[in-house]
Amino acid sequence: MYRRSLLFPRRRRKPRKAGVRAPDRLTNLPLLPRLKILSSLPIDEAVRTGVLSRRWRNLWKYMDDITVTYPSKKLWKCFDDLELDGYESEEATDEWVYQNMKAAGNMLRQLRNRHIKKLTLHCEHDPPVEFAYQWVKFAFSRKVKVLVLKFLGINYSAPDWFGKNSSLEDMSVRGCFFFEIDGEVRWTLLKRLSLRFLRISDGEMSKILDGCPLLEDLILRNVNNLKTLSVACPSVKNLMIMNENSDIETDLNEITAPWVQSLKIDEVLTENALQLKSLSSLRKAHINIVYKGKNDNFDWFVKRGSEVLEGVVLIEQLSLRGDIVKVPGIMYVLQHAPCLKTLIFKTGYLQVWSPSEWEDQVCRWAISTIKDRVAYMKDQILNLGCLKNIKILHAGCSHRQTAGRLAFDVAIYILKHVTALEEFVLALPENDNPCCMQCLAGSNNVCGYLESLNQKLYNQLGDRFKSDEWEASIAGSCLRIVSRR
Amino acid sequence: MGKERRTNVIPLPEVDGVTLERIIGFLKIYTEESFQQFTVQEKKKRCDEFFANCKFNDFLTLASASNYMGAQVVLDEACQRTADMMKNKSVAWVRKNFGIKNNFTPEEEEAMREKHEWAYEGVDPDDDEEDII
Repeated sequence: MYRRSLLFPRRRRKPRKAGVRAPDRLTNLPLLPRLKILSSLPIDEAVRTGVLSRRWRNLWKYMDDITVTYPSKKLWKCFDDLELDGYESEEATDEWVYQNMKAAGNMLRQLRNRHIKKLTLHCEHDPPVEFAYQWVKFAFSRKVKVLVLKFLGINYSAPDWFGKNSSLEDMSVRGCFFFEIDGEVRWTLLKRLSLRFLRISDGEMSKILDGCPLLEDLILRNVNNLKTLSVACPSVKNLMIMNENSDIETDLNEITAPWVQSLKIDEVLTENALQLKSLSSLRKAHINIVYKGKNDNFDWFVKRGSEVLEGVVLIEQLSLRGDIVKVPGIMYVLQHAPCLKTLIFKTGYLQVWSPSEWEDQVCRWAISTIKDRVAYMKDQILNLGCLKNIKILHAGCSHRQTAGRLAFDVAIYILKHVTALEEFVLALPENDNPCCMQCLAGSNNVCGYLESLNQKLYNQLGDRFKSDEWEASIAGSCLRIVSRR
Repeated sequence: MGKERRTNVIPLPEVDGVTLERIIGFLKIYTEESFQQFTVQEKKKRCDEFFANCKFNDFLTLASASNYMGAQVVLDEACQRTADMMKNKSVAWVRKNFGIKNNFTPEEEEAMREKHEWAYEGVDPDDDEEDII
């Protein structure tokens, strides 16, 4: 019996005539995606959807994830018109700002949910003092859980009531000239705190940390002025200190965090050594410190820099990147880290550098210190009974072997001393992320280079790497040696 | 003597083949370890590449399908991108391009606009070339 469709094949639909409306698929979406779409719009745009059709009339009032942008489009237009008229009237500006605030307040008050999940305040201009925290007060009254404040460079302290909240679980603040809060801080349910592009004093940071008994994640990005960070609260498990796309050095000298289990220090620029103290609970660390001083001070950094890694001894996973890889302190860690299971080196660079930049910034330092490091390593005794995984990522291009050699030498040295190794991975940059222009020409040699490295390993490690116990494979730009046991 | 036929087929009445492929493709990328190591900008670039050839209708279908299947990350992306298309567009533009029929009386519409005057002003004028149909 034939299927009906074979006997009567479906006719193709005729193309819709021009001018005939397509079905309204947006309105016919289920409720959750529609509310989500509204939540991705700033509140004034979400309010505008109310007039699209009857089904949209009150939908925006049920949002529980709100984004308020200041200034609103209308206010920008007022500012622009004022400029075009060629004069500045403070009275007019104040009046408009007041109208903007009033209008935004009206919109917020129409929201029907008693509990709002998230409020994002995005300021492209800093709002006036009396209004800056007006929306935050509204959010507090609706038991907001997630608060995101993005200022430009607001220059006054948060009011007293801001420090007292028992519903907030996640707060991000960005863009304060100086972050401080009048009075005590008691954020009893706060689990995650992220501070970015601001300055904060040691005292203020302590005050905040003391007032957050349930804090688990503390994230500091491009935060300055802080010199000593002491994380005494036992609940804080994750600490991240990052410095993205900035030439400004960190002011941090010392970090004490006896309860932190996972630490990430990324792209932190320093001219001094950063001391990590009392990290007795640390299980996992990613450390990427960039030296920002003059080249002739590099030796001093290398010496002082080893202090950074002295605090880190009970970890299970260690990922090192940047200048810290050249620091002999690594050997200290490897000597005193009996629980270390996974070791990851990222030594290369992902950006495209011109050959001359590569020469100046990497090769010069590397070549000048390589002799010292080799001598230092010869004297060390390692205890690496637990080390199972070693990964060397982006270890330098196939023809520019210097950066690769840095990590390679260290890896060979480590491999000679591990007893429980399960996997060793050496990955060159992917072909679409060449680390210098000449890689593009040499990209066909990746496989050959990896094979030669593999051979070197066997030659240097001899008996330790019997071929029936290990399986080597090359896939793409990655050499993987896996234990067969 | 009829043997029981075991079927490994799970019917998904709300999801068509193309959309399912897209959802699976995106989830594959999202769960890769290398993706998780990316910075925010790199992640965004990768997602932009993935969705480069999707039209707004595709996003609506993706939103509906991922909502049905519970693929949260795809739903977030699809809703965010739909919202991006609506940003800074006038009410008339949105109605026209998304095919929404206005069933308000002029008086009702006027009353609503007056109520939140500040929300309706300051929008850039429509650029007809930007129509998405």
